[in-house]
Amino acid sequence: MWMYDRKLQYPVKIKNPNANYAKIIISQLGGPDGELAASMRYLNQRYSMPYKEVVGILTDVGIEDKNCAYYLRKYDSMTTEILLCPILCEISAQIFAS
Amino acid sequence: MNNVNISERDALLKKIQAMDFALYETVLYLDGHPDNKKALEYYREHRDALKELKDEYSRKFGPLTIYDNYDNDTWRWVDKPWPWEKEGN
Repeated sequence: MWMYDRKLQYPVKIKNPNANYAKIIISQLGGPDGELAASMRYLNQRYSMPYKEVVGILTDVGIEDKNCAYYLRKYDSMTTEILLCPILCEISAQIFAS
Repeated sequence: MNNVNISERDALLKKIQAMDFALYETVLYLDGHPDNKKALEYYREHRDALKELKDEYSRKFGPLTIYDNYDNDTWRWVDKPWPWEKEGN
């Protein structure tokens, strides 16, 4: 059902690795109330939505949240978090790797 | 795909990332507003421009999707660097 591009949503180049910071970030993805959990909810609840717009939104936002932890997105908060979240996973991946 | 100019590749990739993001935002907007003419126009223009950029990138530097591997000698999809590595994005 999904095609993906072999690229990140944003460039990510960490200069100063920090394991503690990485822990916080990765918990935003997989921890309690994390993006992955949200993604699973969206992708599973879209089947019972009465309006096609809602099905579309749940699908497209759920996909973004799911994509193998490469980027995140918080559609419902509509704040600067929207810009910050997409790179959280790449950041933590690089921090862990460095 | 040898003798790759890293900075040229990075610059083109950055352009693609920016336009792809703008396009995805438009997609999300259109999901909620399927009949908005301005958004549909924006979508169409950027979709066409993005297609060209991605085509150029995949011919010069390697595949962006599983469908655009243009190297007939090697399967470049599994090349290093990976997108999440520092050198890969």
